[in-house]
Amino acid sequence: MDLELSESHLAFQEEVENFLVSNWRSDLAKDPEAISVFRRTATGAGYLYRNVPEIYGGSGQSPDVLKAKIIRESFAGVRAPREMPGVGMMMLVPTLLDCGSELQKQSFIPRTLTGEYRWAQGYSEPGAGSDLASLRTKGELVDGHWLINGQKIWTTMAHKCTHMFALVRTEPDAGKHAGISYLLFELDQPGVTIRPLKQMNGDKEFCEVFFEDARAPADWIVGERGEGWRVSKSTLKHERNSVGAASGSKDLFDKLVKQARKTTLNERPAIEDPLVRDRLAKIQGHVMAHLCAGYYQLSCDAGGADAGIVGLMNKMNTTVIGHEIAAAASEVIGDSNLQMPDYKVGRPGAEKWVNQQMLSLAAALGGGTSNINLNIIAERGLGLPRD
Amino acid sequence: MDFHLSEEQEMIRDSLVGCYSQCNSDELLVQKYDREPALDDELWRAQLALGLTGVMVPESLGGLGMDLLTLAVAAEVSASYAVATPMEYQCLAAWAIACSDSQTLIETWLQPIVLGEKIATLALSDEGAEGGPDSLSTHDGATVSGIRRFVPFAAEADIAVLTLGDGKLGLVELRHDSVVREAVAPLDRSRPVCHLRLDSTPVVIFPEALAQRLYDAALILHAASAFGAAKRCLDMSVEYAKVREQFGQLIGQFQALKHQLAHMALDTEPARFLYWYAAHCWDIETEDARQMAALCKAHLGEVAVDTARAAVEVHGGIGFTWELPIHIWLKRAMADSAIYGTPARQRARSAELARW
Ligand SMILES: Cc1cc2nc3c(=O)[nH]c(=O)nc-3n(C[C@H](O)[C@H](O)[C@H](O)COP(=O)(O)OP(=O)(O)OC[C@H]3O[C@@H](n4cnc5c(N)ncnc54)[C@H](O)[C@@H]3O)c2cc1C
Repeated sequence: MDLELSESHLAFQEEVENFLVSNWRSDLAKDPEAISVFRRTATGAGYLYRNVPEIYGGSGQSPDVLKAKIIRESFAGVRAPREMPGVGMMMLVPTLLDCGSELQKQSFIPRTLTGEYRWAQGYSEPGAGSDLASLRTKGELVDGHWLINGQKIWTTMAHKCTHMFALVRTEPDAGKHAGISYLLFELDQPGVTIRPLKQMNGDKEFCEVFFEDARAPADWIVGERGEGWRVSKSTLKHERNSVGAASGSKDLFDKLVKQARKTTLNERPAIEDPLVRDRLAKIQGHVMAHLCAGYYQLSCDAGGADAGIVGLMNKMNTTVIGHEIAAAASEVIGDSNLQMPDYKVGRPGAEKWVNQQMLSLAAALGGGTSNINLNIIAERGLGLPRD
Repeated sequence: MDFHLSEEQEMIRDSLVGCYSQCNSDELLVQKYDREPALDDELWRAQLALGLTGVMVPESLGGLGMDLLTLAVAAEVSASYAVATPMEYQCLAAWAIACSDSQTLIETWLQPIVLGEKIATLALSDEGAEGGPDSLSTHDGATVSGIRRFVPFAAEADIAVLTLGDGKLGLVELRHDSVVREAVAPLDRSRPVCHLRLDSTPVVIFPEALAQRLYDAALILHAASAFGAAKRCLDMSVEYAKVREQFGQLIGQFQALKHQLAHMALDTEPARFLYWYAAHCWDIETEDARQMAALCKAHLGEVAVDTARAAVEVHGGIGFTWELPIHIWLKRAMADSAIYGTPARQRARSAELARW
């Protein structure tokens, strides 16, 4: 093991920091145009979209775990925008790079990177959640177009998106998994109706999406007909990794420590309370194990090796830490738990952790419930027989 | 040994269930939940008609002369229907005034409160009777100044019974000019809250030092209320596991889910008897009554939040919606757990009270 930065990585770090000094100021954070310009420049410099080849609008850098870490930390340090958030970048782009046609890569990836195309993930249906492969939304090829009929649900941000990547049953006579295809289509069309659903925290982020003869061009299918399940597996793998990014857990934990310094408990900063210290240190153990396992995975990935069972644990680790942080936060903030944060009236105080309590539940469900993740760990990781 | 509710207590429980299941069915509750958080007039009138307010007031003063256990059982039922009224606070305020040993307090306030002509709330410090950082102070014994956070139903209430430190209780009229009631967006919309700012507000001090007893009673009622929330979440989850199918079978057939539900039951069901016991200890003033109040509030608060969170997970995506009322009980559980001191804080108090 060697965690020291080499000469060349130190030089890279300096280069990134100089780049940020000349190209980013925090007052730009509210200016969408300035943010796009910044992203373009940072991509040009090789700092963003490193895994995306240049011809598709990325910076096409060879994988380098340490450089990625340097970029992430330096950008986070000055709150500079990183890659476009959302499932388009996290799930669709890697999937297209793996399984898409040349034409699909050219027409979809660059516009996804700039944010012109925003994608919704159309997998879950009312009857098909954990048992996703039982999905029933139908796709039929008629006169050079897919006609799509059926319904998706829990589709995050569909009402703010331009496009959807969806799993659709196109081969009704084939088996459960073999009948599914991976289709892309536009959301702004007469055959699509989107109804946002209110979440427990009062936000309207996830949606019901109804299809009545919604249309997609015949070649907007990723992979062959009936290969959608396999194609989506590569997408799900990306989702588990991204949701499971240990750095997210660490950021959240660091914020909780900051909160504990600020909050008064028994007339002293909460961070001085022995119970709070014990609880935070316990969580930190979990966070650091998650983070170090993340470094190990990155090293394995860089060397083309398989990280083994820890590679199946990212989502579950993030979920468990999210629950622990929510519970510890509720002790730290005390009676502020009684208040609902209201972002409309300004920046909320300690009560913002109330929202975290709820969001930690969303994280436990989205992208596959904890039971399904535990089944994966037990069956694929431990080699136990299936039910 | 008889660890049962009395027939009378069971009758009260059943009549409340009858009343709420009609006026606050889940369907109605979900509709009402979108309104501005406020006291629910219809339910309040129904509770007054049942004569609940005087439940702990001695018969000699026109009440029912019953005990905290009875009120705790009523609080559980209200919680399981997420009833948006200050009944528990009203009842405890009536009890405190009845026991105040002050003719003035009794003559001025007891009857209007028992009849529901005036609405009373409690403004207790997190630290119980001892006072604490947000303690209100009274220099002259006639006025009180300071801030008290998160007072339930303060926007509607006419009076508040306050803890003033050193075991003292006081009564203030909230419609007085010197009182500012700062509205706060409540997490639990079935129990709206305000911050109270008092500036030389006239106060009547209770001759009897009742603050500790009142605080302990309030802890027990919130524990009972947390139980009501937990039990509803458990029941809804079990029902759902019997109807939702995935992979061609009921999800309740998966052993993992069975165990989760069994654990939720294991956490929840025995805890009912802990709150009964704590209420009974308070009623007969056992030596460990104070400790049991703290322990029971800590335990039930935590059990309820954990159970409600588990219930969201059992329901999958629909569990995260506003449409399904699970979140209403999750939020009630979070509020019950946090008010008057979090579980860790109450456990620390309990350990001290046990002289560990
Ligand atoms: C905030 C949020 C955002 C989401 N965003 C999206 C999105 O953008 N796109 C999208 O397609 N979907 C999205 N989802 C849906 C999510 O993927 C599903 O909710 C999830 O897969 C569970 O499906 P379900 O809701 O039908 O629950 P169900 O599958 O009905 O599960 C109910 C319960 O049964 C348990 N269960 C099911 N099968 C088993 C088993 N074999 N063994 C043990 N227990 C089992 C589950 O763990 C759960 O506790 C989102 C969900 C949430 C909460």
